[in-house]
Amino acid sequence: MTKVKSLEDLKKIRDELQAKVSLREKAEHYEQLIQVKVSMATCGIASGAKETMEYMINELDNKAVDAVVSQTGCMGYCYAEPTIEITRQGEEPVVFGYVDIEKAQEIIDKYIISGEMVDGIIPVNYKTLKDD
Amino acid sequence: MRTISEHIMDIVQNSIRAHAKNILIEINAKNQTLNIRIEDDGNGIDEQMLQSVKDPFFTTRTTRKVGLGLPLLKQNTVQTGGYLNVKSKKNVGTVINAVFNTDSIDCLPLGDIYTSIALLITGNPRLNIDFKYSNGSGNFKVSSEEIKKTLNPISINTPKVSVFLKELIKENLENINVDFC
Ligand SMILES: Nc1ncnc2c1ncn2[C@@H]1O[C@H](COP(=O)(O)OP(=O)(O)OP(=O)(O)O)[C@@H](O)[C@H]1O
Ligand SMILES: [Mg+2]
Repeated sequence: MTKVKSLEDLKKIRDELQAKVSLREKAEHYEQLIQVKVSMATCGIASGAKETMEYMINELDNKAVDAVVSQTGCMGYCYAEPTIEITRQGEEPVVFGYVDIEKAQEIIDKYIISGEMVDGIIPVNYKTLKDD
Repeated sequence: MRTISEHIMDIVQNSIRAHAKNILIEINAKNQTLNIRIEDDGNGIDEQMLQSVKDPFFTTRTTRKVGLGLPLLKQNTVQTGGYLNVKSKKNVGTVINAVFNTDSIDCLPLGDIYTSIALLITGNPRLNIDFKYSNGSGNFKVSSEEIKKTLNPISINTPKVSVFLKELIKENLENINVDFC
Protein backbone atom coordinates (compact mmCIF):
# COMPACT_ATOMS: atom_id res chain seq x y z
CA MET A 1 0.00 0.00 0.00
CA THR A 2 1.17 3.49 -0.83
CA LYS A 3 1.66 5.95 1.97
CA VAL A 4 -1.36 8.23 2.20
CA LYS A 5 -1.83 11.39 4.24
CA SER A 6 -2.93 10.96 7.82
CA LEU A 7 -3.70 13.08 10.86
CA GLU A 8 0.00 12.81 11.74
CA ASP A 9 0.68 15.02 8.71
CA LEU A 10 -1.95 17.43 9.96
CA LYS A 11 0.19 18.01 13.05
CA LYS A 12 2.95 19.26 10.77
CA ILE A 13 0.54 21.70 9.19
CA ARG A 14 -0.52 22.85 12.63
CA ASP A 15 3.09 23.45 13.68
CA GLU A 16 3.81 25.26 10.45
CA LEU A 17 0.79 27.52 10.93
CA GLN A 18 1.64 28.13 14.55
CA ALA A 19 5.12 29.18 13.60
CA LYS A 20 3.53 31.94 11.57
CA VAL A 21 3.33 34.40 14.43
CA SER A 22 0.73 36.63 12.85
CA LEU A 23 -1.69 33.77 12.49
CA ARG A 24 -1.06 32.56 16.01
CA GLU A 25 -1.84 35.95 17.45
CA LYS A 26 -4.90 36.23 15.28
CA ALA A 27 -6.15 32.81 16.34
CA GLU A 28 -6.54 34.34 19.76
CA HIS A 29 -8.37 37.28 18.24
CA TYR A 30 -10.50 35.48 15.74
CA GLU A 31 -12.30 38.66 14.69
CA GLN A 32 -9.03 40.04 13.33
CA LEU A 33 -8.95 37.48 10.55
CA ILE A 34 -10.66 38.31 7.29
CA GLN A 35 -13.85 36.28 7.25
CA VAL A 36 -15.23 34.86 4.03
CA LYS A 37 -18.66 33.22 4.03
CA VAL A 38 -19.95 31.41 0.99
CA SER A 39 -23.70 30.93 0.62
CA MET A 40 -24.39 27.23 0.17
CA ALA A 41 -28.09 26.70 -0.42
CA THR A 42 -29.43 24.58 -3.28
CA CYS A 43 -29.50 27.56 -5.63
CA GLY A 44 -25.91 28.43 -4.66
CA ILE A 45 -24.59 24.92 -5.20
CA ALA A 46 -26.42 24.66 -8.52
CA SER A 47 -24.76 27.92 -9.64
CA GLY A 48 -21.25 26.79 -8.72
CA ALA A 49 -20.81 27.94 -5.10
CA LYS A 50 -18.78 24.81 -4.36
CA GLU A 51 -16.24 25.66 -7.08
CA THR A 52 -16.14 29.28 -5.91
CA MET A 53 -15.48 28.22 -2.33
CA GLU A 54 -12.79 25.75 -3.37
CA TYR A 55 -11.11 28.33 -5.58
CA MET A 56 -11.09 30.98 -2.87
CA ILE A 57 -9.59 28.55 -0.37
CA ASN A 58 -6.82 27.57 -2.79
CA GLU A 59 -6.00 31.17 -3.68
CA LEU A 60 -6.07 32.43 -0.10
CA ASP A 61 -3.74 29.57 0.80
CA ASN A 62 -1.40 30.27 -2.15
CA LYS A 63 -1.24 33.95 -1.31
CA ALA A 64 -0.91 33.22 2.42
CA VAL A 65 -3.75 35.58 3.31
CA ASP A 66 -4.81 35.43 6.96
CA ALA A 67 -8.44 34.56 6.36
CA VAL A 68 -10.97 31.94 7.35
CA VAL A 69 -13.56 30.59 4.96
CA SER A 70 -16.89 29.19 6.08
CA GLN A 71 -20.25 28.25 4.68
CA THR A 72 -23.47 30.07 5.33
CA GLY A 73 -27.08 29.36 4.44
CA CYS A 74 -29.23 31.04 1.84
CA MET A 75 -28.76 34.80 1.95
CA GLY A 76 -31.94 35.31 -0.05
CA TYR A 77 -30.29 36.38 -3.30
CA CYS A 78 -30.92 33.27 -5.38
CA TYR A 79 -30.85 35.36 -8.54
CA ALA A 80 -27.26 36.44 -7.82
CA GLU A 81 -25.69 33.12 -6.76
CA PRO A 82 -22.98 32.33 -6.01
CA THR A 83 -22.93 35.00 -3.31
CA ILE A 84 -20.23 35.57 -0.72
CA GLU A 85 -19.96 37.80 2.32
CA ILE A 86 -16.64 39.29 3.33
CA THR A 87 -15.80 40.95 6.62
CA ARG A 88 -12.49 42.77 6.77
CA GLN A 89 -11.11 43.49 10.22
CA GLY A 90 -13.22 46.09 11.97
CA GLU A 91 -15.35 46.82 8.90
CA GLU A 92 -18.97 46.15 8.00
CA PRO A 93 -19.63 42.92 6.09
CA VAL A 94 -19.99 43.28 2.33
CA VAL A 95 -21.95 40.87 0.09
CA PHE A 96 -20.90 40.17 -3.49
CA GLY A 97 -23.10 38.49 -6.10
CA TYR A 98 -22.37 36.39 -9.20
CA VAL A 99 -19.03 35.30 -7.79
CA ASP A 100 -17.62 32.94 -10.39
CA ILE A 101 -13.94 32.05 -10.37
CA GLU A 102 -12.91 35.17 -12.25
CA LYS A 103 -14.85 37.41 -9.88
CA ALA A 104 -13.43 35.53 -6.89
CA GLN A 105 -9.92 36.28 -8.12
CA GLU A 106 -10.70 39.99 -8.47
CA ILE A 107 -12.27 40.12 -5.00
CA ILE A 108 -9.21 38.47 -3.44
CA ASP A 109 -6.67 40.65 -5.25
CA LYS A 110 -8.46 43.94 -4.77
CA TYR A 111 -10.93 43.85 -1.91
CA ILE A 112 -9.49 41.23 0.42
CA ILE A 113 -5.82 42.02 0.03
CA SER A 114 -5.88 45.78 -0.43
CA GLY A 115 -9.35 46.92 0.62
CA GLU A 116 -10.08 48.40 -2.82
CA MET A 117 -13.74 48.37 -3.84
CA VAL A 118 -14.83 46.18 -6.73
CA ASP A 119 -18.12 45.95 -8.65
CA GLY A 120 -20.79 43.44 -7.82
CA ILE A 121 -21.68 44.48 -4.27
CA ILE A 122 -25.25 43.70 -3.31
CA PRO A 123 -26.67 46.45 -1.13
CA VAL A 124 -28.11 44.78 1.92
CA ASN A 125 -29.69 45.44 5.21
CA TYR A 126 -27.36 43.15 7.12
CA LYS A 127 -30.00 42.08 9.62
CA THR A 128 -32.04 40.27 6.99
CA LEU A 129 -29.09 37.99 6.27
CA LYS A 130 -29.38 36.15 9.54
CA ASP A 131 -32.99 35.09 9.00
CA ASP A 132 -32.95 31.94 6.96
CA MET B 1 -27.12 18.87 -9.45
CA ARG B 2 -24.41 17.30 -11.57
CA THR B 3 -22.96 14.84 -9.07
CA ILE B 4 -23.96 12.84 -6.03
CA SER B 5 -21.34 14.82 -4.10
CA GLU B 6 -23.21 18.05 -4.85
CA HIS B 7 -26.42 16.45 -3.59
CA ILE B 8 -24.70 15.46 -0.36
CA MET B 9 -23.41 18.97 0.12
CA ASP B 10 -26.94 20.27 -0.44
CA ILE B 11 -28.75 17.79 1.82
CA VAL B 12 -26.33 18.57 4.65
CA GLN B 13 -27.32 22.24 4.32
CA ASN B 14 -30.85 21.21 5.40
CA SER B 15 -29.38 19.69 8.57
CA ILE B 16 -27.39 22.84 9.24
CA ARG B 17 -30.46 25.01 8.75
CA ALA B 18 -32.29 22.73 11.23
CA HIS B 19 -29.59 23.65 13.80
CA ALA B 20 -27.99 20.23 13.93
CA LYS B 21 -24.83 19.95 16.03
CA ASN B 22 -23.82 16.48 14.94
CA ILE B 23 -24.09 15.18 11.41
CA LEU B 24 -23.14 11.75 10.11
CA ILE B 25 -22.53 11.21 6.41
CA GLU B 26 -22.16 7.58 5.51
CA ILE B 27 -21.58 6.10 2.06
CA ASN B 28 -21.64 2.41 1.42
CA ALA B 29 -20.86 1.06 -2.03
CA LYS B 30 -21.50 -2.56 -2.82
CA ASN B 31 -23.14 -4.79 -5.45
CA GLN B 32 -23.71 -1.88 -7.87
CA THR B 33 -25.61 0.14 -5.28
CA LEU B 34 -24.53 3.29 -3.57
CA ASN B 35 -26.20 3.77 -0.24
CA ILE B 36 -26.02 7.24 1.28
CA ARG B 37 -27.16 8.00 4.77
CA ILE B 38 -27.21 11.46 6.30
CA GLU B 39 -28.18 11.61 9.92
CA ASP B 40 -28.57 14.74 12.02
CA ASP B 41 -29.69 15.86 15.47
CA GLY B 42 -31.43 19.00 14.25
CA ASN B 43 -35.00 20.22 14.82
CA GLY B 44 -36.54 17.41 12.85
CA ILE B 45 -39.77 17.49 10.92
CA ASP B 46 -43.14 16.78 12.53
CA GLU B 47 -45.46 14.01 11.36
CA GLN B 48 -47.75 16.25 9.32
CA MET B 49 -44.94 18.13 7.62
CA LEU B 50 -43.11 14.91 6.84
CA GLN B 51 -45.98 14.06 4.48
CA SER B 52 -45.58 17.42 2.73
CA VAL B 53 -41.82 17.03 2.43
CA LYS B 54 -42.48 13.99 0.28
CA ASP B 55 -44.53 16.18 -2.06
CA PRO B 56 -42.40 17.98 -4.54
CA PHE B 57 -41.37 21.50 -3.83
CA PHE B 58 -42.46 21.82 -0.23
CA THR B 59 -40.40 24.30 1.77
CA THR B 60 -40.42 26.13 5.11
CA ARG B 61 -38.03 28.62 3.64
CA THR B 62 -39.09 32.25 3.71
CA THR B 63 -36.68 33.42 1.05
CA ARG B 64 -38.11 31.31 -1.74
CA LYS B 65 -41.43 29.58 -2.43
CA VAL B 66 -40.24 26.12 -3.42
CA GLY B 67 -37.80 23.65 -1.96
CA LEU B 68 -35.72 21.79 -4.49
CA GLY B 69 -33.14 19.81 -2.56
CA LEU B 70 -35.10 16.68 -1.63
CA PRO B 71 -37.27 16.49 -4.81
CA LEU B 72 -34.19 16.68 -7.03
CA LEU B 73 -32.40 14.03 -5.00
CA LYS B 74 -35.46 11.80 -5.10
CA GLN B 75 -35.75 12.16 -8.86
CA ASN B 76 -32.09 11.28 -9.34
CA THR B 77 -32.34 8.14 -7.18
CA VAL B 78 -35.62 6.92 -8.67
CA GLN B 79 -34.37 7.27 -12.25
CA THR B 80 -31.70 4.67 -11.44
CA GLY B 81 -34.26 2.32 -9.92
CA GLY B 82 -33.26 3.41 -6.41
CA TYR B 83 -35.16 5.42 -3.81
CA LEU B 84 -35.12 8.18 -1.24
CA ASN B 85 -36.31 7.64 2.29
CA VAL B 86 -36.80 10.38 4.90
CA LYS B 87 -37.27 9.56 8.58
CA SER B 88 -37.61 12.30 11.11
CA LYS B 89 -38.74 13.06 14.61
CA LYS B 90 -39.50 16.55 15.83
CA ASN B 91 -36.75 17.81 18.17
CA VAL B 92 -34.79 14.60 17.78
CA GLY B 93 -33.39 14.61 14.27
CA THR B 94 -33.61 13.40 10.73
CA VAL B 95 -32.24 10.50 8.72
CA ILE B 96 -32.06 10.73 4.94
CA ASN B 97 -31.36 7.56 3.04
CA ALA B 98 -30.65 7.78 -0.69
CA VAL B 99 -30.01 4.68 -2.74
CA PHE B 100 -28.63 4.74 -6.28
CA ASN B 101 -28.15 1.82 -8.63
CA THR B 102 -24.74 2.58 -10.06
CA ASP B 103 -25.07 0.25 -13.04
CA SER B 104 -27.94 2.35 -14.41
CA ILE B 105 -26.90 4.65 -17.26
CA ASP B 106 -28.96 7.35 -15.58
CA CYS B 107 -26.86 7.31 -12.44
CA LEU B 108 -25.05 10.54 -11.65
CA PRO B 109 -21.32 10.26 -11.07
CA LEU B 110 -20.19 10.33 -7.43
CA GLY B 111 -17.99 13.33 -8.23
CA ASP B 112 -15.38 14.94 -6.04
CA ILE B 113 -16.73 13.75 -2.72
CA TYR B 114 -13.38 14.64 -1.09
CA THR B 115 -13.98 18.32 -1.92
CA SER B 116 -17.57 18.27 -0.62
CA ILE B 117 -16.56 16.65 2.65
CA ALA B 118 -13.52 18.89 3.16
CA LEU B 119 -15.60 22.02 2.51
CA LEU B 120 -18.38 20.81 4.81
CA ILE B 121 -16.02 19.98 7.65
CA THR B 122 -13.79 23.05 7.43
CA GLY B 123 -16.59 25.43 6.42
CA ASN B 124 -18.70 24.65 9.48
CA PRO B 125 -16.32 24.97 12.41
CA ARG B 126 -19.01 24.70 15.07
CA LEU B 127 -20.39 21.39 13.85
CA ASN B 128 -19.25 17.86 14.38
CA ILE B 129 -19.36 16.10 11.07
CA ASP B 130 -18.47 12.43 10.79
CA PHE B 131 -17.78 10.99 7.37
CA LYS B 132 -17.63 7.25 6.77
CA TYR B 133 -17.08 5.45 3.50
CA SER B 134 -17.02 1.74 2.95
CA ASN B 135 -16.85 -0.57 -0.04
CA GLY B 136 -15.58 -4.06 -0.87
CA SER B 137 -11.95 -2.89 -0.65
CA GLY B 138 -12.11 -1.37 2.80
CA ASN B 139 -13.29 1.68 4.65
CA PHE B 140 -12.29 5.18 5.61
CA LYS B 141 -13.55 7.61 8.20
CA VAL B 142 -12.77 11.11 9.34
CA SER B 143 -14.44 13.49 11.77
CA SER B 144 -14.44 17.19 12.59
CA GLU B 145 -13.75 16.32 16.18
CA GLU B 146 -10.43 14.53 15.61
CA ILE B 147 -9.30 17.23 13.20
CA LYS B 148 -10.11 20.03 15.63
CA LYS B 149 -8.33 18.16 18.39
CA THR B 150 -5.22 17.67 16.28
CA LEU B 151 -5.20 21.29 15.13
CA ASN B 152 -5.82 23.06 18.39
CA PRO B 153 -5.41 26.10 18.62
CA ILE B 154 -5.46 26.69 14.86
CA SER B 155 -8.95 27.24 13.39
CA ILE B 156 -10.31 24.43 11.26
CA ASN B 157 -11.49 26.91 8.60
CA THR B 158 -7.95 28.08 7.80
CA PRO B 159 -7.45 27.68 4.01
CA LYS B 160 -4.33 25.53 4.34
CA VAL B 161 -6.20 23.06 6.53
CA SER B 162 -9.01 22.78 4.01
CA VAL B 163 -6.60 22.13 1.14
CA PHE B 164 -4.83 19.47 3.21
CA LEU B 165 -8.03 17.77 4.30
CA LYS B 166 -9.26 17.50 0.72
CA GLU B 167 -6.01 15.73 -0.25
CA LEU B 168 -6.13 13.49 2.79
CA ILE B 169 -9.65 12.31 1.97
CA LYS B 170 -8.87 11.92 -1.73
CA GLU B 171 -5.74 9.81 -1.14
CA ASN B 172 -7.44 7.60 1.42
CA LEU B 173 -10.43 6.97 -0.83
CA GLU B 174 -8.20 6.25 -3.83
CA ASN B 175 -6.40 3.80 -1.64
CA ILE B 176 -9.60 1.74 -1.35
CA ASN B 177 -10.31 2.10 -5.08
CA VAL B 178 -13.20 4.53 -4.90
CA ASP B 179 -14.48 5.38 -8.34
CA PHE B 180 -15.31 9.09 -8.53
CA CYS B 181 -16.74 9.11 -12.04
N1 LIG C 1 -32.57 17.58 7.99
C1 LIG C 1 -33.70 18.28 8.12
N2 LIG C 1 -34.12 18.70 9.34
C2 LIG C 1 -35.27 19.43 9.46
N3 LIG C 1 -36.06 19.78 8.44
C3 LIG C 1 -35.71 19.39 7.21
C4 LIG C 1 -34.51 18.62 6.97
N4 LIG C 1 -34.41 18.37 5.65
C5 LIG C 1 -35.49 18.96 5.08
N5 LIG C 1 -36.26 19.58 6.00
C6 LIG C 1 -37.53 20.32 5.75
O1 LIG C 1 -37.98 19.97 4.45
C7 LIG C 1 -38.11 21.12 3.62
C8 LIG C 1 -37.75 20.78 2.18
O2 LIG C 1 -36.34 20.53 2.03
P1 LIG C 1 -35.66 20.74 0.60
O3 LIG C 1 -34.20 20.50 0.73
O4 LIG C 1 -36.39 19.92 -0.38
O5 LIG C 1 -35.93 22.23 0.24
P2 LIG C 1 -35.37 23.54 0.97
O6 LIG C 1 -34.17 23.20 1.77
O7 LIG C 1 -36.51 24.18 1.69
O8 LIG C 1 -34.95 24.47 -0.24
P3 LIG C 1 -33.67 24.22 -1.18
O9 LIG C 1 -33.14 22.86 -0.88
O10 LIG C 1 -34.20 24.35 -2.56
O11 LIG C 1 -32.68 25.28 -0.84
C9 LIG C 1 -37.22 22.16 4.27
O12 LIG C 1 -37.65 23.48 3.99
C10 LIG C 1 -37.33 21.82 5.74
O13 LIG C 1 -38.48 22.37 6.32
MG1 LIG D 1 -32.58 22.02 0.94
